Amino acid sequence: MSGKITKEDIIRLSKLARINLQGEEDKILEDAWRILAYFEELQEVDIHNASKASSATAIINVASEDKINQDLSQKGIGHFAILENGCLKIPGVMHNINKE
Amino acid sequence: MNINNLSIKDAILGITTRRFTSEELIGEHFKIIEEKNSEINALLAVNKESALRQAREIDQQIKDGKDAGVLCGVPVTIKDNILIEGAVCTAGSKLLKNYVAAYDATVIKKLKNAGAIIVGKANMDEFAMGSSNETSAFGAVKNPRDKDRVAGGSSGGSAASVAAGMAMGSLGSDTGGSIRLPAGFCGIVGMKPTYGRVSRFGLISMASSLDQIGPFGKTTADAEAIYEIIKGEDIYDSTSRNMRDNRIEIDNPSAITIGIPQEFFSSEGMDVETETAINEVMRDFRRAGIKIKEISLPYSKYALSVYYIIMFAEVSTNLARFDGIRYARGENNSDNLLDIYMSTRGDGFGEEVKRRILLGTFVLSSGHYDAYYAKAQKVRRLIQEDFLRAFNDVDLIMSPISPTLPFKFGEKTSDPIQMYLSDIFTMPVNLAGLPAISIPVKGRENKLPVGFQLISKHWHDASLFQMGKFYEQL
Repeated sequence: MSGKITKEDIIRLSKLARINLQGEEDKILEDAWRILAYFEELQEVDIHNASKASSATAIINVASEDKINQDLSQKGIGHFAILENGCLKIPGVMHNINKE
Repeated sequence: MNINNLSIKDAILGITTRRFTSEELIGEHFKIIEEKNSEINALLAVNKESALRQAREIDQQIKDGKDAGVLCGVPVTIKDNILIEGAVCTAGSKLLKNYVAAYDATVIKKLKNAGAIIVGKANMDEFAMGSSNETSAFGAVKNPRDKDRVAGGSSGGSAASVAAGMAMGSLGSDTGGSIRLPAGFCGIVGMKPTYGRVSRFGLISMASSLDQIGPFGKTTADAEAIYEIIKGEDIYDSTSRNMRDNRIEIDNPSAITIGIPQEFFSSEGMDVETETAINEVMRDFRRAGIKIKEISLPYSKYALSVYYIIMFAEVSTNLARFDGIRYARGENNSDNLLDIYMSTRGDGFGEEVKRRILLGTFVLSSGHYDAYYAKAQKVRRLIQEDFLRAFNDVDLIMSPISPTLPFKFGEKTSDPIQMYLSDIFTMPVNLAGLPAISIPVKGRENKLPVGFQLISKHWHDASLFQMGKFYEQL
């Protein structure tokens, strides 16, 4: 399918996927080689006339009215790791460069 | 009180006619939990006080002549990736070890309304990624039939809890075989409904186009009793549908044809004992007058590759939500957002989960998308069409659940492909969105269990229960 995946690829992918690897790079690389080599079998399939299937059963369009469900909104807040005065608390994304 | 061979139907009858109380029934199941769970490790959390309190409420309702629900007093366990309001929901992961669910999944609401009593949360492979329950951050589940062997995965705790007698039924989730494989390995019944038959609202998603919640029971009738409660459309799951339950005419067995996919039986690595057991089932069906016909599913041989590419891709996007901001944070108190993401996920996810997320990110990345993900979606279509073509000639399709008997701990952990091959017969079903059931082959009470799989047409879930009950009575 394409060139063999490298350790640099694994490191790049781990940054994209936001995962700090902790010395697992080599093991994951070795497994990735095996798994991707197995996937090579798909090269022999003629997909000329096949359309993509993105779901298991026929998709129907589902539309519903926008309604505020206060109960569910309140419950949803419960998913936040750090909650302060009913708000989600996160570290600042923007920093004041004048201060730095 | 002997609960060993007590069916759900008889338990409800016993409670409603006050032959025994719901409190007694729950008490008996907790005796087994207390005796066996420390060794089998099927349950990650139990709530005895609340279960007994609910049981007493049901007993009171029955005394007062009130309707206590169609599953009143039935003890069930719930796979730990299904949300119960106020209860910790770990999905078998260290990352969610302190996460408390904020609402009930739709299936939980339905079970509670029906009077079922949840006795515990069941152990599972981390985020449902595994075939042996060995990837759980809280230790593997032992197979109650042979404690040196795995219970199967990923819903291993659900299957083992029912097989060991800790509960009369359970809910699991099945993305590529995660209900059917552990049911087969533990010698009980497990069923994966048609995609969309049961709401997934409140299930921690793994691969959304493949995931489906389904029931476990000691017998087909027990699994069916739970299915009847959880099925149906839900406004909170746009893929769920309300469809009529289609069924086959079981009164005339000679009008029924079961297809046997030749590709499944010529597969390498099929264990002799498993093959012999499946041949016995075929013989039983033939003797009952059912026709057995060889069929071909030519593209099924690519199912493993297609399944893993699509599942990796969906896993990498679904699990992006576990960022340390929502759900649960790791140890990191940094004031840098990226640091929190990286360390929460790096510390919290186990090896199998990391491997799948990274490979999912890879198959979706620019330059690889067409070669892997887009191609897999097209072959998925060919696999779906294989099944639809086969169902022109047959009513049901039969196969083993797994090519091997339940294996020993550590036997397949070093080679991911070997582990993935455990689900070779079950994952094509998820790719096609079909319903399927795992039923234990009879007469193996003193041997390792073998499960056989029946697959039905879309929305013919009821036919599977009919056929399962028919086999059990042969």
